[in-house]
Amino acid sequence: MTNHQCEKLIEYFNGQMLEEEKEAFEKHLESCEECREELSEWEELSADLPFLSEAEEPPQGMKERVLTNVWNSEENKENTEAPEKEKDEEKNHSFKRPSPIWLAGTAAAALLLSLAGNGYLLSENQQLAEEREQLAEEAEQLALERDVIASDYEALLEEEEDGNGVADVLLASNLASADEALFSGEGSATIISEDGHVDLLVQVSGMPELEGEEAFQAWIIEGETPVSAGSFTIDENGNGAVRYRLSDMEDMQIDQIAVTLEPQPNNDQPEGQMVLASPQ
Amino acid sequence: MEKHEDVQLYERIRAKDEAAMEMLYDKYAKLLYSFAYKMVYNAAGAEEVVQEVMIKLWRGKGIYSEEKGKFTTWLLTITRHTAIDYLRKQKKTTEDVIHQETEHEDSQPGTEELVEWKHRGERVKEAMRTLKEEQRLIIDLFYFKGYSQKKIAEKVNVPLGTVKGRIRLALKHLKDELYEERRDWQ
Ligand SMILES: [Zn+2]
Repeated sequence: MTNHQCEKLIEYFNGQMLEEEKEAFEKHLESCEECREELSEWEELSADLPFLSEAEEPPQGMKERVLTNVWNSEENKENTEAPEKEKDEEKNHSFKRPSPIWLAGTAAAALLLSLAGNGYLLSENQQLAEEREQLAEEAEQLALERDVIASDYEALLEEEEDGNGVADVLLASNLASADEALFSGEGSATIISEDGHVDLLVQVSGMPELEGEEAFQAWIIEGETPVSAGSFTIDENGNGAVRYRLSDMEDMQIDQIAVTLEPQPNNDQPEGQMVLASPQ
Repeated sequence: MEKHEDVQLYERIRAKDEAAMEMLYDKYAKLLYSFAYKMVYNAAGAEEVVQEVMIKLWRGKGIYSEEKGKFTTWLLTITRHTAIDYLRKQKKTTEDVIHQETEHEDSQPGTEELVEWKHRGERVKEAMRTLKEEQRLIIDLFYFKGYSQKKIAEKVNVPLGTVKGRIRLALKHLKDELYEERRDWQ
């Protein structure tokens, strides 16, 4: 016996039905032997296909993230969602990812900086000098990928030593893991002025491997609005860097610098998780 | 035996046993992740898919029973549907990109399951190579991208009425190629 339900078998097989359609089809399955047979035939015919997948290494910290969200899914259900909505919810269940915490820094943030003026002079010379030394050490360890940036930076430091004062480190800040339990890696954000330009240099080290098209992306956060400061990848040692010209932006106020892990490079807005951030 | 162990785990999960959930995660996360990755082609997406599957399991969406066949097959079906759902929701799905089979460097397969996975994968890939280009494309669009018959018809440029037959034919060819191996596995 054929009815219009039988024609939907393929849709059912590929999970292309809404919840009500699915229920209707499953009811039909109970009474339609032909469909049951055909369905098991499709299942058998495709049983080998999953093996075409290559063994991929799950991202670092995935287990903790997933299980945390599994446990939380219970709480969310009880706290925020009416139980009678369950069906609807399954259909519309959007893929929840941990939302990045763009904690807007209304309080005086470590990186609060107005680039409108010309106040390029260092106020905390000594501390910055130390940080610069540390950065220079890191610069020495830079891999090939970063050579361009590294040599810029070294040139910059040399100029400083010459006392020409062409370039200045305006601010330096550490970038720490947003959640050390989940993500290894650290970095630094340095804002330098050189030849009338102001650049942001973000350097990272000890970052976990990227997969597929993934890329890290640096963001300048002003209030709650992240502005991309460029995507970058890392070398086999987990080191990477990106340089961004701040002086092209007008009157930019920086509340925070952050690095996210994005599914693909050059996003306009962050899609992935925040992995490193400067202190609030 | 394998089956029985999984069913026990599943039942404990139904009873909200967190340790069982974690054991299931440890056992299957890498397989499901690899499968999801093959479908959505990005790490963050694959992680979301696996997470979604785990949440479905934990919240008791979709009931497994032994009549439904092997637990692993059932789990893979849920994963595939979740990945198809993810692809549909992704607005910027790169629909026109058919991902090439790239040769991966050997990642050290840890568990027994992974060794078997890899071994079977080689055979299936070999069998895939005997198919015509169009058949491989149809299988990819249908199974891994979750395209409707209509979309496949447009993409491959064949009459809609022939799509189902073509998918079936392609899969049958594949199965015939694998017949000998299949006997070994069972
Ligand atoms: Zn039927």
